[in-house]
Amino acid sequence: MGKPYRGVRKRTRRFGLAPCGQISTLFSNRCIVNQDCCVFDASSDAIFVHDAASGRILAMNRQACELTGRARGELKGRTVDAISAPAAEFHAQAALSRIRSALTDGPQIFEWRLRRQECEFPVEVRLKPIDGPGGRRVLAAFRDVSDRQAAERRLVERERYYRTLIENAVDGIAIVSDEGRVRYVGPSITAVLGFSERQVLGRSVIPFLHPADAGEVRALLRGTGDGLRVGEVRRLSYRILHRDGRWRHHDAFVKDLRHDPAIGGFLVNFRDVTDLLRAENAARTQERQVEHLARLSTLGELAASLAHELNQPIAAVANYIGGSVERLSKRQGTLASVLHGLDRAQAEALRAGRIIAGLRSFTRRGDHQREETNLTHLVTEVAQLIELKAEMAAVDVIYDLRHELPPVACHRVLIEQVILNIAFNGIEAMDTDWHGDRRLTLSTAPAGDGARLSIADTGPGLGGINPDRLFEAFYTTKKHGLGIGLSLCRSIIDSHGGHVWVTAPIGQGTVFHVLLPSRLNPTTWPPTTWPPMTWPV
Amino acid sequence: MQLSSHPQDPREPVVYVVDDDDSVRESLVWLVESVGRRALAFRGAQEFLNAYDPSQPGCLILDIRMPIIGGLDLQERLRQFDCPLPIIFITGHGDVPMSVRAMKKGAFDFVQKPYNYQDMLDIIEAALRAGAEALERARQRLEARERLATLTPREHAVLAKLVEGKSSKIIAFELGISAKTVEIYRTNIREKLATDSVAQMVRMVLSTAG
Repeated sequence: MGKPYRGVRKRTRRFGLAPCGQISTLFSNRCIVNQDCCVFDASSDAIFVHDAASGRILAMNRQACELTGRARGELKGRTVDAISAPAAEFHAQAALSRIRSALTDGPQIFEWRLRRQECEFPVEVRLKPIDGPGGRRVLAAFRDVSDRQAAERRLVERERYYRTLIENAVDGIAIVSDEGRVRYVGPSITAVLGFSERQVLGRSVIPFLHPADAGEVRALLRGTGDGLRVGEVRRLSYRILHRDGRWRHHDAFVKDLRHDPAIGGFLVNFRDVTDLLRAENAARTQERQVEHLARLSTLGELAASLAHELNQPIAAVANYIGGSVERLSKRQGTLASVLHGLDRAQAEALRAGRIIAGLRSFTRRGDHQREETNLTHLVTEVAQLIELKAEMAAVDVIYDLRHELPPVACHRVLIEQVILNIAFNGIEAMDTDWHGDRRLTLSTAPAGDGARLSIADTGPGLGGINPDRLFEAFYTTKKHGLGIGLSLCRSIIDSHGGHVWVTAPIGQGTVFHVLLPSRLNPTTWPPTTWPPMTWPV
Repeated sequence: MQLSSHPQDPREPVVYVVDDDDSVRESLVWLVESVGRRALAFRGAQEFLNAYDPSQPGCLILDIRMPIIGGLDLQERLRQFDCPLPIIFITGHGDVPMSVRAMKKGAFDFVQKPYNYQDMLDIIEAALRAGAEALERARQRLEARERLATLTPREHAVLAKLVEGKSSKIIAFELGISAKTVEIYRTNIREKLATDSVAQMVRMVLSTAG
């Protein structure tokens, strides 16, 4: 059996591709008619031999029995009705017309539906006419394609799925050649650039790019310079001309898939980020403006109270000097009284100097260095400024400061600004209309691994105001307030990984708490923007 | 309250200083005393009102910015009882609008800190003179009012016609009484008002009007 067996097996396996002539030669061999032939049975396909005239089944191999779930005895001499699905197009009559076509026109390939017990399944049928000893026959090879069909169906569904995704995507997708020609572009191109798919297919993208960006894109596609490695995804930003004549900013990811036969080019996923960039720019500008305004309003308040406070000792100096001159020129006063006046004048001059020194140390450190420092120390540095303001409003300032505190890592100027802002708010809460206690208490204490500062006023409290709203930008309860002070405070504290909150025990004023951690969280430091603003949307 | 070392004389004018800032207040008192003036200092408006005697001649130096009762508030309260005290406001940088308000409401002057002490002393002297005159006018007004209050209704009617410059005959005709009776009323009026001059009577009536 050596040689013929190999030949048969080989050809049987390539059945679908074998030229008709070879098969007829093969099956004209008597071994086919002899149903015991193991070659016939060894085929991976199910094979029936039909009588060409009646279409009845003359013989079948083992696979045919397995495929239809019938014994040889049950099938022999029957028409295909015995094994076909009970639909009109699969009746014996239909099968016979196929057989006739095979006889006249040569081999036929078509789909059929078979039945095994109650179960129907699709098969691919190949009909070949052969001449046997008992007259003309037709050989029918069946192959179960239910798996293949399911796979095909899945494939179609997947394709539809991806196509839907691509069509509905805001992002665009394209395949371009190394000269930049568009081989494929997703339908979302219309939404992204205003052109239809047809308008751009086959054209180069390079002329559409902004001259300043075209060079980089061209170099990337040509592989010159810093070319793409296989599998590498490169991020690309460029400006591209919209159909409306305006430049749009795109963010794109490019992957070299030229080696992939399914793609054969660079896969480009692109997204229009023009509006996003514009919004980001606008937000950044506004952020800067708000920060500037906040600084101005703090400085403006400072300047006003500073002018007032500096005027006091200067006026006193003038009074003492004038009084001394009068006493000396009119010889009215005693030497002791003149000395007293001059002594007081000097003391007032020194007081003016201290006020200026306090302000200078506040404004001098404009650097953005963070350093480990003691929260109590920061409070004492701004204490004088707080007292200036408190004095004008007839508010007593009380300190309950702990000097043994874990050091906190912070930006001194910013944290001092926070302390000033909250303290000033507290003082303003006790304005001239407030007839209760007039006290501002600043206290520090260790808290967790860091330190806490509490600033309590004895004003009217929050009066039903939602404490969370207090920290929103542009929310203000003051007549002339900008509503950015507390919002800025929170931004600053957030950027330090800290926490600011407010409590208002009924009838006991308002308490603002600031908690600063001892160590900075390396994932939140340094903050990406400085200081990050909470922006209302 | 800080009292000066000068002997208490009820006719000696007083420079009242009201300022919440200790340095300014004390130094101002010291300056005022250097020219031999008597000064009384108060930390706030309420303390001043508690101690102020309207019959005392003087002037008031008032800080325009003060907690609780501000300088302008105190000015308003003093106006309500026709206080004759001239007020010199001390203002700071950026208080121009407040200064304007103060002047419109009859402040004597305002001085912006920091000031030349000589200017301040000059203004104080001028204010004291104005204060003394105002007090004298007030005193005369009070006296006139007291004298006028002693007239009978008929004497008032005759006085009103006199002030209009009418002769006794015309007054007699208008009131339907004899000229002799008018002459008796005129004599009574001259005695009660302690003056022979019609011009003097006119001044007294005008000073108490309104």
